[in-house]
Amino acid sequence: MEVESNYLNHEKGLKSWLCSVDHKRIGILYFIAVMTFFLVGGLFGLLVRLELLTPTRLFMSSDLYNKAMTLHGSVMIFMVIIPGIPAVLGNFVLPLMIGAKDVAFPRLNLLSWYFLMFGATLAVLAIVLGGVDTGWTFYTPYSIRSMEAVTVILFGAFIMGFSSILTGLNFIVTIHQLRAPGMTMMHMPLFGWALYAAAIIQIIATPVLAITLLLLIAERLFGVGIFDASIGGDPILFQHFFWFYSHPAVYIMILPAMGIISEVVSTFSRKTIFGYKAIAFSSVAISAISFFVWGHHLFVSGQSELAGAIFSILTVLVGVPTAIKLFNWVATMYQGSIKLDTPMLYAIAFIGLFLIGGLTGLFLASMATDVQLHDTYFVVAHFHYTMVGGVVMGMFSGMFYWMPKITGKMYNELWGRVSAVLAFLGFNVTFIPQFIMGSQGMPRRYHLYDPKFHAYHLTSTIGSWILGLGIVIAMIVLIKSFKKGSVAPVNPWGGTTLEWTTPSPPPHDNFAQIPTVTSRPYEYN
Amino acid sequence: MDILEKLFSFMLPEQATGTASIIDQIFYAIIGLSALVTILFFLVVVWFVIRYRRRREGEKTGTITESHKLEIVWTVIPTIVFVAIALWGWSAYRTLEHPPADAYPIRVVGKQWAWVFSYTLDGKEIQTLGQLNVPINRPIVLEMTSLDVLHSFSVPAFRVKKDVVPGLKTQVWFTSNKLGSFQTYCTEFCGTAHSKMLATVNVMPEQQFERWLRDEAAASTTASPSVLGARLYEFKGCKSCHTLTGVDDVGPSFKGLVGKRREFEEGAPVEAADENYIRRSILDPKSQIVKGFKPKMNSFVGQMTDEEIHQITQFIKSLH
Repeated sequence: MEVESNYLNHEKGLKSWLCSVDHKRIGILYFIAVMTFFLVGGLFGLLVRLELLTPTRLFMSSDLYNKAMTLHGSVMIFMVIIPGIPAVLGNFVLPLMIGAKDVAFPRLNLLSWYFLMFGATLAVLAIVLGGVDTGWTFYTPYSIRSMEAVTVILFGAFIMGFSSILTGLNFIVTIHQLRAPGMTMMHMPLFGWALYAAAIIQIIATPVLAITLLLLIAERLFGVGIFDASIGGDPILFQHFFWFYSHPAVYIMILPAMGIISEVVSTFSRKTIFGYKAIAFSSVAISAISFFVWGHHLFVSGQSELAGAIFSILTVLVGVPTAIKLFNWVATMYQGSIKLDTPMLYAIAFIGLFLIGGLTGLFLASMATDVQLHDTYFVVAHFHYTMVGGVVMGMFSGMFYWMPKITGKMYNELWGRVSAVLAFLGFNVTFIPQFIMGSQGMPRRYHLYDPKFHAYHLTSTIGSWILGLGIVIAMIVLIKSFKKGSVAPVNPWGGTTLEWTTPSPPPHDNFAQIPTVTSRPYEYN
Repeated sequence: MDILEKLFSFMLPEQATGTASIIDQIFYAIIGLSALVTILFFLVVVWFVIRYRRRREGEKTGTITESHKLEIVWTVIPTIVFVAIALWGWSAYRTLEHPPADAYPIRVVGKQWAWVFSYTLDGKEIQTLGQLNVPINRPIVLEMTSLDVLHSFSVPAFRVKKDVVPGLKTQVWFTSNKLGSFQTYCTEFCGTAHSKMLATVNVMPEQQFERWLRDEAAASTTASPSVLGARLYEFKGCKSCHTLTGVDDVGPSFKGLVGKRREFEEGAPVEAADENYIRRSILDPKSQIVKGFKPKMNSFVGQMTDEEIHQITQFIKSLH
């Protein structure tokens, strides 16, 4: 039997991959990179949890613990969950979804990948040079005085920022210029809207981080006196600059995940998404409000009370469009035809965990309760509920959803479901105890801790093994489906968006003929 | 509210100030709301998944695609509830933020990795290390600053926390209504021994506090340089890295240091460590990193007087 020509067999050899400007191949390059980083970041996370098995030193010195904690955060944030969904799935799916042959700037797209790899190389170099112990937030003045490798990893994060900016730029132009004939913005699938909203943040906020990191490098190398109080600088200024990027950045991470949930919930309920406009506009609303909430990271930093109050109110407002999405997803399931395949299991896990992540955000948005909870394990748990319970669950939901399209083969459904259940259970066992000990006052980033918190830490560490197992199984199932599995049909899930109208895997040019769109997405009956 | 408190009080530490309950009320309200919403979502999702499970391929599904009424309901209600929570939090924060005019001031200096508390009595300064003694039922205001990097002063039982920032004065206040000792933590990451930067608040009866303060003031005037040096060893944080046991830690041990041959990472060795060597180590530590150690120590220029350097040197000399 003759194999049809598709993007995977279109050209052969390593060079045909490393120099490819095909958005689908670049998506695969990102997939390989991000999954590798995920393993590394996850390993650091598991080591941190393992060290915390006992209140006293187990196998790491305090310095080593601080480095492991820093690298877990830095790798996961800058190299996994920022590029994860947009660069892997956005790259692969967006052009297919809107009926385009590629992104608007294919070469720029490849360059973005090389920026990420260059940045990642610098991060590895920083580890080889002795590691970094500042925490992923690089707070001054500690980050000014700490070890040499800090400059290297700062420069690495600076470079990776360009990868993010260029990907965002590419997506915005692609969405404006390359939608199939007849597909108005209001006909575009919601994953497109989500990527669009995230891309706005990527191109506006990321340059601020870039400048901040450069200033910090300048402060380290030349002592110019911007952030260092001993030479006339202001350490809190760094926090304003840093969070002006890094708070919107959490929406760069979560918005695309929300987009995936909109697709998956609709497809696996066989039902038109409920409140299309509400979901689409809430993405843009989140993106807009997210620029004005950064000060909630500074309630106990010495920031003025009035500033605190304004940021507190703006912060709770960003919860409103988030709540709207949650309500609409659940309403979509009403009167549906629901099938709990792996993508849907991950999507439901997302809804439950992200709900808790959002609600616990209220404790931190309220200034009075934040005083008690700031910089404790409560924050750690809240952040992981949104970033793992949200972004990572959403990412796996999307990967299982589109994997048959990407590889042309069906993954192992049973093991996919096992991974989702394990990850969900393990996640809760890991992080629920952290809410409790955090409320009781257990500070974050502590190598040694009061024995009264031991039971919580012990439970959390055991949970991390279950979570780790779930994620490793998910990765194995996904990667195996490149090699083995029954042939995937054009539309295995009964989806209604355009990527399900072209063969699996898609041909090099995506569509034999560019489709014309005449109706809204998500029409099932 | 009482039921919520019964259900969730296990999450919060004991209350040792009158103002703690102001924060706790908000905590219980939000957790009650969160628990209710989470349970409702859970029940609805489970109900939908079971009730609308796929029985056969191609079955008809509902055709509702939107409802303006519902969208308005679930936009307006969260907005009102969320803003109410923010305003409540703000109003409580106002109460907690501003100390009464008659609050008793204690100065707090954070440094890697120790807390120093200073009291004034009859123009004399009394310092304690890692022990914050306060009288019960009297408003206390802590005026805080840092000598090096960011720290944050947190007493969970008092529900207070504030960053301690170099070049800036920040403050927290509290009135403790419970006798006993309470744990404090540094809650802003500050390097190697961040998790060991602890202190204890000792809440004592007013008279006991006054007596303690007078005794301390009297004792501080009569001691010898080497005894004062021993105090500095703790107060200036030398203790975090230099042991008195002869076993090296982050830095070389002080025991038997004087007279020892010193080889450096760079530059000519010193045959026998003397007073000059110690002085240079304090003021310009990075100029003579002893072989096998890392350049971890910051200069103490501006942080120790000549008198104090003399005292600590006498102390080190006394350790054979």
